[in-house]
Amino acid sequence: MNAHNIQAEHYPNLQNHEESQIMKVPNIPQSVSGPPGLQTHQYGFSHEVINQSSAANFYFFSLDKVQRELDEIREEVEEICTVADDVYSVPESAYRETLSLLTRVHRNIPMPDVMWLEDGGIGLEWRPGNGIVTMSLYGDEHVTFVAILGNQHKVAGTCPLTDSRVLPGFLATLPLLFRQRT
Amino acid sequence: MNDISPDEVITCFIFSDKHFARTSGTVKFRVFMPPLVSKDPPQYSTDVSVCRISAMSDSGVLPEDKVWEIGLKYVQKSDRRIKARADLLVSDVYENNLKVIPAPEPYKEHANIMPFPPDRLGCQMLATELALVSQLVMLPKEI
Repeated sequence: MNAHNIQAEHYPNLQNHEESQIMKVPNIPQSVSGPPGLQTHQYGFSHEVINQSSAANFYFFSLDKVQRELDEIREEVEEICTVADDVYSVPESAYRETLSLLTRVHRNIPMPDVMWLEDGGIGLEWRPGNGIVTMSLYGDEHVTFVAILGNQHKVAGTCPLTDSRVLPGFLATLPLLFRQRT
Repeated sequence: MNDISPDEVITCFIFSDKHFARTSGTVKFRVFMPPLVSKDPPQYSTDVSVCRISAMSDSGVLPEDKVWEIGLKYVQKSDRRIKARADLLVSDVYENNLKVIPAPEPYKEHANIMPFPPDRLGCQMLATELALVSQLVMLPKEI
């Protein structure tokens, strides 16, 4: 039984969600087998979507700016954790992993909004056109990602940061999503 | 069976500047992540707490000042102040196979979006969907 089936079996609302989307995107495999620890829901955007791309928009974000954002977040979380009992502290490894992940992201996309998560993680969010891309890191050497582009194109998964197939493919898709908005 | 009309509007209060973008008017997915109930392995609550802001008064819509009053009185904590809120149509919740269940404690307009799955991926998927369709409303300066 793969990870996809485990999720669908336990959470019927997710199963319905997946089935409806898979029906709308026939070229996308219904489940993806992969290395241990990998969970995916529909993987990949259709060529039709990507081919609609027109002239590229040019963006640039610097890792220095990301580092400054992370420093601000560290300060805010430390402050909140001293007074709030429902906010988990963010481990140092989550900050390192976030910076490391962003070194792998193509620079010609906007810098993501970086945020702390109450459950002890770092969240990243981009808004390409009418879509949304979110990622979360908790310092456990894994990343959870979700991308929604319109009603028909959705990708979601969890994989190790060392994954050599799904994660590089997902990161390579990001610049295409931003090109599409023009 | 869903008890609340799909035309109703609900809202989720926001406490951190990092959880919305004022310039783009967008709400971050974190706002709709349910609370963590167990750290290792991570397991999340099935509910996200919201406030019903329409169809709860004689005129059909709660006045803006009343909405903020509820937030300040019942939702704001002494250590975290409300900065904004994320408004959402109940129909958008239903489209994600979630329900909005009235839970009129500690205030009569209170409700829960549910059931979120207990795992991180499932919660993030749904939170991302809801963030995409929600609308940012800033706390007015005069309140």
